[in-house]
Amino acid sequence: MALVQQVLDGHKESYNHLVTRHMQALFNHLNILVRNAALAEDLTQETFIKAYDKLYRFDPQKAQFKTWLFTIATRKALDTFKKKPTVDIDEIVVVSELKSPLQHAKDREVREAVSALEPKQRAVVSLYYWHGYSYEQMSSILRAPKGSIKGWMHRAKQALQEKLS
Amino acid sequence: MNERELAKRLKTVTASPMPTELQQRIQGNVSDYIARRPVPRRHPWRTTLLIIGLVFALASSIGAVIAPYLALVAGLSIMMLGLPLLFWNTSLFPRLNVKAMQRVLVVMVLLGLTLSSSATVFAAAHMAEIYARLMQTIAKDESSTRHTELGFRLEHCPALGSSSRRTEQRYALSNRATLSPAEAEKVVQAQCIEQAAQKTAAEKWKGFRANDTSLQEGQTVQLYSFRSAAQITGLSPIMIKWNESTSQTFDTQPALIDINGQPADWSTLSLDSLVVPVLASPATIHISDSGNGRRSAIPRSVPGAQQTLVGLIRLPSEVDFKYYDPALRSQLVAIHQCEQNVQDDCIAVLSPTVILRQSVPEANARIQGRIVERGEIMLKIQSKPSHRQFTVELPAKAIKTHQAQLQAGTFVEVNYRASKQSSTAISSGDIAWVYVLQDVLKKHDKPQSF
Repeated sequence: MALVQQVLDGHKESYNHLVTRHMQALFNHLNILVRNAALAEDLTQETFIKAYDKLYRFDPQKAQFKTWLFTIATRKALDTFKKKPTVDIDEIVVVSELKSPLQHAKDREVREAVSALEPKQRAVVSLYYWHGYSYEQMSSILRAPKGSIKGWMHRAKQALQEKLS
Repeated sequence: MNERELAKRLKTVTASPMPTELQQRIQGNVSDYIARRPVPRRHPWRTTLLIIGLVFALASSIGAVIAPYLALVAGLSIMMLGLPLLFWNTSLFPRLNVKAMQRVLVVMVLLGLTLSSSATVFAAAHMAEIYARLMQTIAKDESSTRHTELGFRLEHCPALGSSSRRTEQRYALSNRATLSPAEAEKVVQAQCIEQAAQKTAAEKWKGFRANDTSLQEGQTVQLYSFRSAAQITGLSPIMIKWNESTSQTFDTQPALIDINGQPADWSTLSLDSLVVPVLASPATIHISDSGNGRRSAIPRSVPGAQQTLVGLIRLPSEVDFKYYDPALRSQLVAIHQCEQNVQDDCIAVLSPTVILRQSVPEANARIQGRIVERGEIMLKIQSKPSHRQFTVELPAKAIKTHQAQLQAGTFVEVNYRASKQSSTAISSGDIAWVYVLQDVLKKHDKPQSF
C-alpha cells in the first residue's frame, strides 16, 4: 500500500517495485489461463499498464494490490477467449529447468492437465491451488457467484482426477 | 486419485521463475510506458461528463413525458455533446478504452436523435393544440365581447338571411375594412336594420335619402354622407334613431347633431337614438362631424363609412316625451324597428335586456318577441295624455306562457288593448317596451314613474 501511495504521490519509479514484486505470479497465472507465453507476456504488460492508469481507483480497504492485479489480469485473459477461444496447447512455455527431471515431468503433466480444462476452470485451479485465493476472493476476481466458482472447481477436479490418475 | 491426492499433487507444482530476459522485457516496457504517462489521477472531466450525461438522460426521460420541448432540448444537447466526442482524436489518448467510450457515445447520439425527433413531433402537435385553443379562446372572447358591448343579438334578420350569412358578411367586412369584429358587427347590424326597414318601407313607407325631401311621419332617413341633413315637416316631437355603422367612437362620442341650428340636447342621446323633445315645424336636422371641436364619430378613412339614420318616427303630437329611465337608457341598445307591421318577422328585437320595443300602431295590437335571457317580463308603456310615463306590469294573462320566470328562447306574445277610458290608455303611436327586468329591478325598487 505504501508503494501504491508513493506512486500516487508522484514517485512513479515506485511502480517498478510493484511490477517486480508481482510480475512472476501474474505471468504464471496468465500463462496457465491463456496457454500461450507470448500472449501471457502481453497480458502481463497490459495488466500492469492498466493498473497504473487506474491506480487512483485502487482501494486498499477492499482488496490487496495483488488481488486487484489478478482481477484485472484474469478478466483480460478471459476476454481473450471471447475472441480467440482456441490456443494450441503446445505453446505453453516451460519456464522451470531447475527441478529434477522427475519433478519436472510431474509438473508438466499437471500443467498440461490443467491447461486442458475450460478457461474458467483453469482460472479457479490456478487461483486456488497456486495463488492461495479463497472462494470469496475468486468470486470477486471472476465476478461470479460463489456457487458458480464451486461448480467450476468441482468440474475441474473431476477432470483432473480422470487425467492424472 | 481422490480429492486429497489431487490437491496435494496440484500444490506440489511450484511456481517456476520467469526467464530474466522476459522479466526485463516486461519491466522495461512497463517502465517506458510509465515514464511517458503522468501520475495517475482521477480525471474530473470524466466524472463531470458522466454526471452531465446522466442529467441529460434523466431530463430527457422526464421531459419526454411532461414537456416535449424539454426533451427536444435535452436530445439536441446530448447529440451536441456526443457527436464531437464520437469523432474524438483517439491518438491523443492511446490507452483510453476508445471502443467502450464510442459505444456509449453512439448510444448517446442515438438517444438524442430519438428524443429530438419524437419530441419535435410532440412539440408540433402540442403547438397545434395550443394554437387551436388560442383561436378558440379568441373567438369566444370576441363573441362574448360582441354580446357584451353591443348588448343585443338579432335572432333573425330576414333581410340578410341566415345567421351564418351574417357571420360571413361580418367577417368579410372585418377583413376588407380592417374593422374590429365589434365594428363589423355594427355594420352588419346596421345593414340588417336598414334592409329590414327598406323591406317594410317598400310596403308602406317611402324611404328616401337625406336631403331628398321633407320627412313625413313614419319615414326612414338614411344619411349616407356624414354631412347630411333631413328636414322635418309636421308637428313634433319625433324620435330619431340612428346607427353609425363604422364609428369607432360610437359609444362615447355620438355624432354631432343640431336641430334648426341649435345643438341637440345631449342628455337625450343614447347609444343609438335621439329623442327630440319638441321640434318646431319645419325643422332641419343636421348631422355633422364638425363644430364644437367634437371628434368625428365616423372616421373618414374607413371604407364604406356611412351614417345611417333609421327609424325617424313621428310620434303623436303634443306628446311631451320624456326619455325613459336613464338607468335603463344605458342598457337599451339597437332597436330593430318594423314599426307598424307588427306581425312581420323582423319585429323580433332581441336583447339581453330589451325584448321588444315597439310603437303601438293602433289601439288593438300585438307585439311578439323571443326572450333571449331568463328574466321577468314587464311591459312598459309611455303614453299621453298625462305627460307621464307609465310602467305597467303585464298581467299574467297577457303573457301566453303564464310564467313569471321565462327561459331563454321562450316565445312571448303580448296582447294589449287600448282603452280610452283608462288613465293608462294606450293610444296609437304609443311605444310599448317589454323588458326583462332581471337587472333593472336591482337598481330600482320599482319602476320609475313621472
